[in-house]
Amino acid sequence: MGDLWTRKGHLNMIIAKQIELLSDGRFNVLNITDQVVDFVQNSGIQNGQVLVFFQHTTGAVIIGEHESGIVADLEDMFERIIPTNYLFKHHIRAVDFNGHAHLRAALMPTSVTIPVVQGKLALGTYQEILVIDDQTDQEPRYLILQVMGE
Amino acid sequence: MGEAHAIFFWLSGVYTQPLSALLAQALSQVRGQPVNPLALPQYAAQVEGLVIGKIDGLAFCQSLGESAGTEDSPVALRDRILGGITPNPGAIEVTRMLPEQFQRWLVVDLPVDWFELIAEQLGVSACFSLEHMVFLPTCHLPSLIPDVFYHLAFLAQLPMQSCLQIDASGKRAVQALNHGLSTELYVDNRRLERMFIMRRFIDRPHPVHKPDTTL
Repeated sequence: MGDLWTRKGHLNMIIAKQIELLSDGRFNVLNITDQVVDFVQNSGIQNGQVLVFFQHTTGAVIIGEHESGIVADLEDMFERIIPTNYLFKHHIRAVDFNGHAHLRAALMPTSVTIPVVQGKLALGTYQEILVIDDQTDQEPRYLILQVMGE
Repeated sequence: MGEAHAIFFWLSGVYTQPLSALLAQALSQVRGQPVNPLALPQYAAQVEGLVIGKIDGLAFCQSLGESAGTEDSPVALRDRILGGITPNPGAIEVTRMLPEQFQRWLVVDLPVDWFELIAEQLGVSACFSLEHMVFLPTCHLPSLIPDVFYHLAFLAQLPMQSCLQIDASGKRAVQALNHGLSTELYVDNRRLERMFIMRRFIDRPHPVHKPDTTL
């Protein structure tokens, strides 16, 4: 494979934005690909990379195919290895009861970085940017999008 | 896995915005600041009541308006919600690509009188005959999930494995799969068309599998 893009110089632009998601949690999977694409296009940055960072400890951001069977299989896998109704020590303090969400989140990434080449996200055909919100309460979820490049 | 003979398209989320987005938009307008309806008390129960007809449209708006602290009358709030509808003609266009061998059904998850007010705007009659529109509020379902999945298969007079639903709600899609009803997530029209091609519902060359290396 050859270089997609080679250029020496200084990064001269970094733009960040926070987005809020409507989610009712409990392994809700939200596809934010279009929001990230819009953000990068509006930034005007042609070459660089974009970071997508999930600002919570009870979920994750991943790159995957947004297909209902895959989502169901993921949820099923996590339910088998980290069941929702396990007696988590996190629950002893009786503040909240989302121990499963914290442990699952520890196994998943809180951010992804995607190359931006000629103004486009260099995603594969079936790659989409998915947020997994496993919180037990209905609360706003926030992400930081940060694109850097020139 | 069976072959799909009947395809059920959910109205909200496919041919217009998801209901939660419509409600968020209306409440944010009236409050003058962003409102997340999912965080409102009793929201989920109220919406389910609306969709399966346990609460009529105006009672729903009354209750929603009270919990969101709005001053709109129920009728004004309903009009505000429906006034925010954005049709999705691209989805109509892709749906029309399906050959006639498939039963095409529209799952109307809104009160009938609301649907009548927006049906022409959405243009769904170009794809669905009246007898293939399922008005959930009139189906007398005890609960939405999982009853709706079994009810849809019953309406099509087909085993569940011969049915497919197209739904923008990821959670409902997973619940449907867990009950044996095949489901494709609606994300956008391009992906919907790609799915029809991949499942060989429409006869077109298979879309490119490799990432774009011409960047």
